[in-house]
Amino acid sequence: MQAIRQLIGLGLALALAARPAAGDGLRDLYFGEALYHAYQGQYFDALQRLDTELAQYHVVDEPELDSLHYHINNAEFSVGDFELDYRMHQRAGRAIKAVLEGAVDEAVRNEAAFRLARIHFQKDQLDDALQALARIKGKVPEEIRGDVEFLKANVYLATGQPSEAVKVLAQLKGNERLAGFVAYNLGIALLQDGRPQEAIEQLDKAGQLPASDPAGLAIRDKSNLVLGTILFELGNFERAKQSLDRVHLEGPFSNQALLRAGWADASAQQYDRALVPWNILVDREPTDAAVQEVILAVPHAYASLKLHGRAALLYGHALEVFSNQLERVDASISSIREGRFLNALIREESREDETWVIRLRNLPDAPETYYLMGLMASHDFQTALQNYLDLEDLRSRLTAWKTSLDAFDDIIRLRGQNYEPLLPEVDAQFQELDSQMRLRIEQRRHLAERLQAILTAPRPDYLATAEEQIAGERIARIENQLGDSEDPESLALRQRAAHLRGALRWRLETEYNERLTAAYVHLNELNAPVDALTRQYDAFVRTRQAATHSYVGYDVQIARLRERVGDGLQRVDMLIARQGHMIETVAINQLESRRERLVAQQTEARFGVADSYDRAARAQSGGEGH
Amino acid sequence: MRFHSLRIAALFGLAALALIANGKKPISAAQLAPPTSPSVALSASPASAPAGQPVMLTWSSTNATSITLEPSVGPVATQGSTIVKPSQSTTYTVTATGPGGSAHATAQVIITPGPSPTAVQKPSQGETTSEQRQMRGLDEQIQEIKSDALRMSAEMSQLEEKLLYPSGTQVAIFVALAKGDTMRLDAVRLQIDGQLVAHYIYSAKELQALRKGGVQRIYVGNVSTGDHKLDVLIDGKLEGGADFSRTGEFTFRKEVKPKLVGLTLAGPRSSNIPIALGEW
Repeated sequence: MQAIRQLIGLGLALALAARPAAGDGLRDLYFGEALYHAYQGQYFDALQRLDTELAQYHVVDEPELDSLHYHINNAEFSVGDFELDYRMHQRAGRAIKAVLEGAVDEAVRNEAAFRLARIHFQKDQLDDALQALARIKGKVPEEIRGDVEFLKANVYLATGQPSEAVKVLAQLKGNERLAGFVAYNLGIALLQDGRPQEAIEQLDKAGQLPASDPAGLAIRDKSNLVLGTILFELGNFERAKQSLDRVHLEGPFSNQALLRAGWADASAQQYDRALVPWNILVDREPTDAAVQEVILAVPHAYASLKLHGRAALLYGHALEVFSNQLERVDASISSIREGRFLNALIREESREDETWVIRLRNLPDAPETYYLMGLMASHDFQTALQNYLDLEDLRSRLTAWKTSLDAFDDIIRLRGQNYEPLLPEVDAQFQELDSQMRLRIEQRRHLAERLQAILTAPRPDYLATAEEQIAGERIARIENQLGDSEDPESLALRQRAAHLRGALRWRLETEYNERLTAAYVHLNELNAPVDALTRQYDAFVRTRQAATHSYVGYDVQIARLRERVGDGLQRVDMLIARQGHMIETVAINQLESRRERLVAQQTEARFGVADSYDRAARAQSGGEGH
Repeated sequence: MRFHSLRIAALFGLAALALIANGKKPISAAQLAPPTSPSVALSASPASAPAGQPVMLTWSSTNATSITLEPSVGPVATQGSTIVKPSQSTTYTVTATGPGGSAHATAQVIITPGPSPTAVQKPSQGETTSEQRQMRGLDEQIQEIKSDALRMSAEMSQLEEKLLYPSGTQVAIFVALAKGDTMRLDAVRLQIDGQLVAHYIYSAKELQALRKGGVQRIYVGNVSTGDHKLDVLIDGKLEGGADFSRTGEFTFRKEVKPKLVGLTLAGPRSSNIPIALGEW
C-alpha cells in the first residue's frame, strides 16, 4: 500500500501541476496580486487577498460590472487550490462545494466535483470521494478528463474494487501524460484482482516504457522494483534479477533494487554474482537502511563462498559501521530531545523540494535527519512539519498585529489630541460660511424662478437697473407731491413727470428682450462660481468627516481585535508546543526503530566475526593438520 | 580467489575423509582411545527470505548423543530438518553434545528488507495508528486557527486601510510584466510629484512570480484629489546580461474613490511599450 500510495501521490501532483491558475488578459489587479503571493508560496497572503476580493464581489449589486467577474470561476477554484496548498482541506472542501452548488455551467461543476473528490481521496474519505465522482455527469473539460478517470481508478483500488480499477485503467492506456502511472497502477490492480500472471506482464511493460522526466523515470523504476520483488518471492530469481537490473542506478529506488538484485542471485546460490550489485551498494550513504542491510549481506556472501577470512574482516568492518551509526542515532535522539530538530526546522530557509528536511543534517547541532527519510515519504509527517512552520508564521503575524493595534491606538490618540481643540472653531466658522452660502444660493434660485416666470408674463420693470428703479421711484414721489392740483404750474410739472415716466417705460419696453437675454447670460455665468463653491463645500464636508473618521469609532473594533489576537496567540502557542512534541515523538520513534534494527545488526555482525574467524581457523587448522 | 576457495574445499574434503576413516577404526582401538569429539553441520535453505516466510533448517551430526537447535526450536534428533519462519535475520546454532565433548554449527537466515508488494496491499482503512490519529486531530485544530487568523488578517488590513489610507486619498500602484517578456527586472523606482515613494529590488522568486502573471502591489499611499505626476524608472538586464534602463512620465487623476494605477513593464526587445500605464 505504501508503494501504491506513493504512486498515487505522484499521479495527483501531476494533475495539479497541469492546471494553470491564471488565465490570459488579467482584468482584476487584486486577483493578480493574490496570484503573485501564491506563486511565491505565500498562501496566507494570497488567501487573505482573494477572500477579501471574493467577499466584495458577492455583495455588490451588479457583480457583472466588477472586474473580478472576468475571472470568477478561476478565482473560486484558486481559493480552493490555495487552501489546499495552505493545508486547509476542510475549507477547501467547503469552497469547492460552494462552486458545485452554485449556478455554474456543467463543465465548471464537473471540474469542481473532480477537485472535491481529489480532496476526499487525499484525506482517506473514500466514500465521499466516490460520491463526488458520481456527481460528474455530461461534459468534462478536456484537460482533466484523464485525471478524472485516473482518480476514479485510484479510489476503486483504495476501496478494494480492483476489477473496477482494471476496467477504468485499461481505457486510459492511450493517455500519454499519465502513461507510466496508468501502466503501473494497472499492474497493481491486476495483482490485487488475483491475476498475478497478467500483473507480472503488465508491470514488465510498465518497466520498459520510455520516460524522460523525473516523475516518469521514478514510476518506471518503481514498476521494475515491484516486479522484481514479486518475481523474487515466486522464486523466479533470474527474471527478478533482469527486472531489478533495469532500475536506474541513480534513481530513488536504486538502493533497494541493488539490494534485491543481490538477493536474487544469492537465493540462486550465485554468491559471486550477488557481490556485484552489493559491492556497488556497500559504498553508498551508510545511514540508508538498504546500505546497512548490505553491509551484513556482503560478508555473508563471502562466507557462503567459504572465504571466511575475508568474511571475518568485513563482519569486523560492519561492527564498526553499526557502532558508529548507533552513536549517531543516539546523538540524534538526544539532539531531538533537546529541541534542536525543531530549531533547525525553523532555521532552514529553502523548503522547495521534498527532501529539505534531509538538508537540516548540515546545520550545526542538528540531528541526523537522513534517518527520517522514510518518515518524509509519508504525507502525514510532511503535513505535520509544514503545519509546525505555519504555526510559527502565524505566531509572528499575530505578534506583529498586536504591535500594530498598539500603534493604531497611538495614532488615534494623537489624532484626537490634534483635532479636538481645532474642530469647534473650524465648525463655528464653517457654520457662518455655510449660512452665507445658503443665502446666496437661495437668492440665485429666486432670481432664476423670477426669470422663468417673466417668460410667460413679461415684466419689463423687473429688469430695470438700479438707477432706473431709483428714477422711477423719484418720479412716483414727485407725482405724489404734486397731487391733483389744477394750477397751471402743477399741471406743467405733472406733464413733465408723465413725460419722464413715459421715457423710462419706453426704455424698459424697447430694451426688454436684450435685457432678458443679458439676465440669462449673467445668471448662467453664476453657475461656474456656484459649482466651484459647491465642490469646495463638498470637499470640506468630506475632509471634516474624514477628520472625525480618522479617530472616532475604532475603540470597540480595536478592543475586540486585541482580544481575538491575544486569544489566537495563546492557542497558537499551545498548538506549537503540542505539534512540536508530536513531531519530536514521531521522529524519535522512527530513530528508535532504526536503532533497534542497528542493535540486531550489530549482534549479527559480532556473531559473524566470531563465526568466520572460527571457521577460518578451523579451515586453516584442518589444512595444517593434514 | 578461485584458488583460495578450491583450497578450502580441498581441506574440507580431507577433513571429512579423516572423520570417515576415524569411524572405521576397530572397536578395541576406539575403546583405548579417548572418546571422539562430536561434529555437527547445519544449513538453511533458502539462506535469505522475506520476514515470516518458511525456511528449512537441515542438520547432521556424528558422535553426538543430544542435539539442541536454538533459538526457538530446542532439542531435536541427531539429524533431520525443520521449518522455521523468522521475522528478523537470525543466526541458528545447533549444539551437538557427546561423550567426547560438544560442537557447534551455525546457519544465518537473512531477512530480505522492504515491504513486499503482496504484503502491503490491504485496504488502507483501519490502518491508522494512534500517532496518525493524533496528527490528524492536531491538523484539524491547526486548520481552525488558520481560518481564524485569515479572518483576523482581513479585518486588520481593513482597519489599516481605513486608518492609514482612507479611500478619499488612497492611491495604489501595481506592477506587472508584459506577457512572455524575458527581461530580468532588477528594480523599479517610483516618484509621485517629484517625491520618491518606492524603490523596489526584485528577488529571483518575485521575478518568477511576475513572469507567471502575478501582479505586485508596489506602493500604497495618500494623495489629494486632482492631477498628479508619476515618474517611473526601471532597471534590468537583457537575456545576454547587458544592462538597460527605461523611464516613463505619466499623469494620473485622483478622484474621491481609491485610485488604482497599473504599470505593465516590458524589455526593449519585445514589441510592447516599455512602460505602459493602465488605470482601473
